[in-house]
Amino acid sequence: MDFDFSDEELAFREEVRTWLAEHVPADKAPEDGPAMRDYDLAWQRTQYDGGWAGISWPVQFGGRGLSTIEQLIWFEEYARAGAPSIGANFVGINHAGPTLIARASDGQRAAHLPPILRGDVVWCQGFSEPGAGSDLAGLQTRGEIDGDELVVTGSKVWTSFANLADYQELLVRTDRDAPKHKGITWIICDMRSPGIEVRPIRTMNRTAHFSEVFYDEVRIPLANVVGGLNEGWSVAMSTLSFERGTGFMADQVELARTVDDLIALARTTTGPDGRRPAIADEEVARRLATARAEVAALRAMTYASVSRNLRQQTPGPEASISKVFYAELQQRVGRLAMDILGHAAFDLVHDPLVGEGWPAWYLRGYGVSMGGGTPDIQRNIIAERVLGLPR
Amino acid sequence: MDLLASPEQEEIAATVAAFCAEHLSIRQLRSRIGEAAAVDPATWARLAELGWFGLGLGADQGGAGYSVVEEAFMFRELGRCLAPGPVLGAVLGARVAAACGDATRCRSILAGEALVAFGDPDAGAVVGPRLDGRLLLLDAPGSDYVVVCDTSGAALLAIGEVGPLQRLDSLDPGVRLATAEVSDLAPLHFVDAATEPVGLRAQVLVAAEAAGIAEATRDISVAYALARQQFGKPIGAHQAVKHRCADMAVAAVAASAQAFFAALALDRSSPDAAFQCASATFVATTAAMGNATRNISNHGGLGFTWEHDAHLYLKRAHLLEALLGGRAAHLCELLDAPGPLTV
Repeated sequence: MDFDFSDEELAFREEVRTWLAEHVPADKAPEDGPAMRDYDLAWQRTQYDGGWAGISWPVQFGGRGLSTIEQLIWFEEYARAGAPSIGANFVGINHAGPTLIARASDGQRAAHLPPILRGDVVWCQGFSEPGAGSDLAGLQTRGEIDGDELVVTGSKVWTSFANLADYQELLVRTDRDAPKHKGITWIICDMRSPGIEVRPIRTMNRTAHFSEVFYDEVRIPLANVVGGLNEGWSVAMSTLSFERGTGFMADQVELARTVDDLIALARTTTGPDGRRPAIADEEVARRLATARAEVAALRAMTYASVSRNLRQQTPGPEASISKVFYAELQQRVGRLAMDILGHAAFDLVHDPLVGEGWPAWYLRGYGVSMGGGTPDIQRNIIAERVLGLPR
Repeated sequence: MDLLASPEQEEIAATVAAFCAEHLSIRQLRSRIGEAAAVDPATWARLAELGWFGLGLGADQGGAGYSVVEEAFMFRELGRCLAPGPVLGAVLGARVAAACGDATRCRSILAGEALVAFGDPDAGAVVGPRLDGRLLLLDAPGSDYVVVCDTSGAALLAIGEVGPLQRLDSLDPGVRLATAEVSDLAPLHFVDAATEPVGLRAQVLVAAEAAGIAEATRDISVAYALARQQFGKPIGAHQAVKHRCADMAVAAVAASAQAFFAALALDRSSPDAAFQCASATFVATTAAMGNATRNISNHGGLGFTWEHDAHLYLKRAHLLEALLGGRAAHLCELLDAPGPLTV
């Protein structure tokens, strides 16, 4: 057990820090819409040109092929530099890309991986349905084979960035007679296909983060199937393990910076007594101190996960433990920010130089806790797959 | 960077666990309620023989040459089984003696010949070259010395130097508690925290012990949730119980991860060591309290009985949470000390 970084890793940290200091954009990401897409893709392109795109992807697929430790260093420096969150690139870089690498054909990889890395395209995820949320395997969107095409009819919901996306990783039911986990197919869907209608859903913090997507006899080439017909569940599970594993490392590391920013805010914001700074209030100070200790524990958990990944490669169900801890902590920190702000907590203004304010960050936390499985589903996973309790 | 236990560390933990299961179990803790000392002299001598008290001291000081990290592995195991006896006092007392060049006293503590009670200063007590204030003493009966520490330094004093012991009817039946006053007392030894951060070490070891409680109560609950049937199935199949167990797992993992992270930070004298240690004590004692409470809930009426061990874990968790100044003591450390992003 040790937490020392090697000389090579320290040199790598220096390299990352220098590059980020020179390239992190001065302006912040727009809240949503095409302007956000343009911003996020431009930043992805900058990272690509600098040789930093797909840091976790294998070199043969255009990535940096960095170890989990180097990824951790990258995310720590990324947070320190205040670099933009991954935004619209999340699905392409963290879900669809890794899934294509794991399960797609050479032709599919050659067609789709380079544009993701270059920041040419946005991907979205068509998994959840109105009738299949936590019970994802109950999905009903149909895919009927017709010649060399799959004809898709049904609907998806909570699809982040569907209104901005070029492609979708789509789960459809291709065998209605098979047991529910056995009749699902994972297919690449071109979001400009005829028959697709995207209806953005406003979230509680006003932005059109996700959408409903309707499919009316949408024809998708069978050549777009990844991992084989009716093999979609296992393909989808490899994606989710990425999302619950290293996909959230950036957020977990970022939270440490956020809490330190909140402490700085509490030093300059007038507190509840109207005279002294907020941090002089005993309750505020205690909650800030608690948050800082818990963020330290989150970091220790992240380091332990990284250590485990180095030994066993794919993230296991233990990732749900960090996810539950992170999501609850993020919400507590958000609520604390609201209390510190006082009346200023009621202004959702989005400043292009500051970006998302505390109130919007706080509200977004309610969505963050649901992403990749609700807290209750994460608890089921921990109880059943880590602790061995019955279903 | 590797935050998983090495094979050697796993072996240390397994050895401690095996010895505790045989000689320092809750069964033994219960059987000695009412006895003057928490551990019988023969068992204490065995612990000394095994080198537990000097695990983190250098070979030149009579220790095993490991670090606070291995000590943390040992204390997590002690926490898991609520091992009785003044081990914390022995480990810290030997360290103060060694830091002050008192090889004789150090060796007698390591050999198990001299016992050291841990003296926890009340709020307002002064720890320094002269000690002043009220102490809560852990396992003072039969002890020869008292070790007192906070983040400014640590002192070793002879048991006869503290005022008369006021014995408590101890809330935690595994620890003999007493209070005593010291008034402007020059201890046998005092070592500044800058020279030897005994207070931070105490924080790490208390955190590790608390992490052990968080883990043990999680495991006890999971075993019961699998075995106990209601409504025709194991209670662990019901989400109310299942999710509580999941929350216990989350708390236990956080506690352990931070306890060991802090141990590493202290071992390396990292600039953020004080912050990491304070975080560890806070997170781990919170986890121990939370899990001990949830464990009682999971057991229903059984959890309220004397016969079941659930209350013993709860009471020890309360004691650990109250030590070293309690939850509020590290507020400044946690707010003002350099954290990971600023170092």
